[in-house]
Amino acid sequence: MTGKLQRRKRLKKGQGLLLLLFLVLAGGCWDRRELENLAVVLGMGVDFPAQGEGYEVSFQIVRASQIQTPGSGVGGGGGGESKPVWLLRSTGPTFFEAVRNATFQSSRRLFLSHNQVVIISTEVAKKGILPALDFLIRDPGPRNTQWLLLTPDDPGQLLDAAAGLERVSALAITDLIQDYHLTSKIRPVKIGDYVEMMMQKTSANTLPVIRIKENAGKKELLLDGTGVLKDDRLVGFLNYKETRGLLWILGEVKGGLITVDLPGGGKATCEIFTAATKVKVEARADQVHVKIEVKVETGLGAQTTYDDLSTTGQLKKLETLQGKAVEDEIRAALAKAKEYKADIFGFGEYLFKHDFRTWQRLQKEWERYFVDAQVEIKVEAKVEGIGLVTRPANYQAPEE
Amino acid sequence: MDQGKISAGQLTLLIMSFTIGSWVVLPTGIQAWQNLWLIMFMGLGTGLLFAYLSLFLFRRFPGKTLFEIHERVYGPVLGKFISLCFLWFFLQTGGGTLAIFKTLLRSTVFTATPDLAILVPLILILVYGCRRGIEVIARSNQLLIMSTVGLVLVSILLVVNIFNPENLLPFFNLPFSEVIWTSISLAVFPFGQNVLFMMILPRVNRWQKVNGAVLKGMIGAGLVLSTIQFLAVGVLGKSGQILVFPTYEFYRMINIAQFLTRLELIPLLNFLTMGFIKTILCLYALAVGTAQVFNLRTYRPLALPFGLFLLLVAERIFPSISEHMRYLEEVQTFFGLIFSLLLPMMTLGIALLRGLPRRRMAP
Repeated sequence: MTGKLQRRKRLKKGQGLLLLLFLVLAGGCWDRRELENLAVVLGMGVDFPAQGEGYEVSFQIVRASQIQTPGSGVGGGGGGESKPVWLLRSTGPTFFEAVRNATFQSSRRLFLSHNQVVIISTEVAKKGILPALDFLIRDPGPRNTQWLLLTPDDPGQLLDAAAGLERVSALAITDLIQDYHLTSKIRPVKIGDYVEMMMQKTSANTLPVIRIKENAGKKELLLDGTGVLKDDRLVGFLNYKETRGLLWILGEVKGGLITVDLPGGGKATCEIFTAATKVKVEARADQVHVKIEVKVETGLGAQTTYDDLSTTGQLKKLETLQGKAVEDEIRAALAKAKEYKADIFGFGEYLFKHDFRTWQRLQKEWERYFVDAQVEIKVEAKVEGIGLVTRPANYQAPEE
Repeated sequence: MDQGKISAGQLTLLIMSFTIGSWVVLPTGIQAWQNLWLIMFMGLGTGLLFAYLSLFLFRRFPGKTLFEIHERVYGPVLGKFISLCFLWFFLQTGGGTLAIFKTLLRSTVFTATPDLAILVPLILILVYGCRRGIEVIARSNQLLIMSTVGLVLVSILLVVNIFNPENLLPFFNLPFSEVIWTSISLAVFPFGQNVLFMMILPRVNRWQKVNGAVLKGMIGAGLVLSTIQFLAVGVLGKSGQILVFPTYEFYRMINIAQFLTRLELIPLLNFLTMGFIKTILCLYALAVGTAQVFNLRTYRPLALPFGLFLLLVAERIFPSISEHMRYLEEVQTFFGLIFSLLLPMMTLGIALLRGLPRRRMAP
């Protein structure tokens, strides 16, 4: 009898605990959102509205039903309706308001957690980026791995431009950015990196630039250089060459090509296999000395002469030329940065980390020290590969 | 009264959980950022000094809780009054912990869930655990702390590809006064709050082993906290300074080959269990302490009302995270110093002056 009673008592306790468990777990269902009620945003653009204050935000929203593997196609379609993305524009006094105001037009609530790229118009960048993007950093939804880009064009139109081989332009932009190592002439920046650089007192930020390229009446995307932001505001641009120089100094060159003019006419292009950079910053007396050492290994990839470049002697010459080319790129980047008085290389940050006392002394007038800095560049280039052929087919050795 | 007994090893683990408790989510002394993991050890040293002062007191009165010691040393009236002050300290510690975890959950995963829907089930479990006594708490803690320590060890491996040692530089760039101040505030919170264990020490089955257990527990907790802070700085860099929950945020960054990502919910659960143990110990100390102050036969009926009281404190005394952060920065150190250093020191001093305990009273 007592056994039975005890068992019933235990059962009741078990039921109570189960109830408690449900109570705890159910708390998470409060703001559950079903997939069919979400508008998944993959790309966003920020601009100022044509009239009034605030921000105009463009959202690239996926039409989930339109994204399917090719072949299982919707057949006939082909009209404008089958576009797999929907571009929605919304304005508001802040970015957050613009996001919420989008629900005036969208039947589904915008879901930002999977957003990939944020495209900022240069107009906004000139006024300051953090005030525009604060929401994206503060809110738990959007991730800090979103790519940041600048555009001189209308970000909405840019998101609406043709995506080449991809169906969604935001994803195409992500791929463009992530392929930077094929050229090393673009510097990708995530929103988290941007904030990190902002925390560094003496450093300046850079962002890649993307713009619309008209091609036979069709709008296409083009990555085009780098914007320089000082104290969160756009102050100027770097071209491809200068961007490469920036990447050399930052040690972020992961690949790409170096083309040099040969003394006897013609050009030779080498592909970068590996590259490594060492930077050292020292403050002597009243001047900052920077030592940049670059080591690069390349392989001959293409030549436009009939000469035999594959001999050891010729390769040595090629190495010297390459070293000069790299130094040239670095000098170009340095000159531009000094012109903008923007320490995009983090020389000041190097001092902060390795020589805190000096940094403390110099940081107030870092701009001046940066512009006056003496830079010593040493490039060690090596050509290691020549591909599958030695000399051009019609090459004839000069007769002695 | 609770007659359960715990072993010295269980005490060590309880101390670890309690110390890791809420600091791991809402670190103090964030202005020292990249030096915080080093200063942690200074804080640990100072905290151990505080702890040994209290332990010295305990060893003079083995088998007595702090409140019983108070009555012995100060006499019934003044003793009870000081005990009541300590009750307030436990209440604030527990309520603060609840508030931190409520805010963490509300600002990360349960963004639209009302406070009560999070807190009420939690309180019910707390009350249930508290009524079961210290043995049950200690045993469940064994499992929870193991998984947390395991998590910290695993996370060292998980962050290898995003850890940037450069972020740790420069060492020692702070003015000396700030280092001292930060280490004192660390000694008070999280380490100093361990004075609460003065209510639990008599439940350890062999009181001779208590000293070693406390030492091991606090050093273990210090190592765990320092490791997490070390990793967070290396991963987040300077931008960690502007985050409200840097440790949570750094687990968000983990990304192994685009495949192992969004792991933040695992540490979130783990930290939640640490906060759970911390709050349940506060609740236990509250209930047992009140029972002792008012000479009740059992503490069990007090668990529920004090649980609700904790909820009230969490909602009313710490209404927002910015007020909470300001409290930790400006008030906590002084407030905590009174309880983890000054009052035990005074009690010890008076006990020594009065020559307590007398020989015949020793057990």
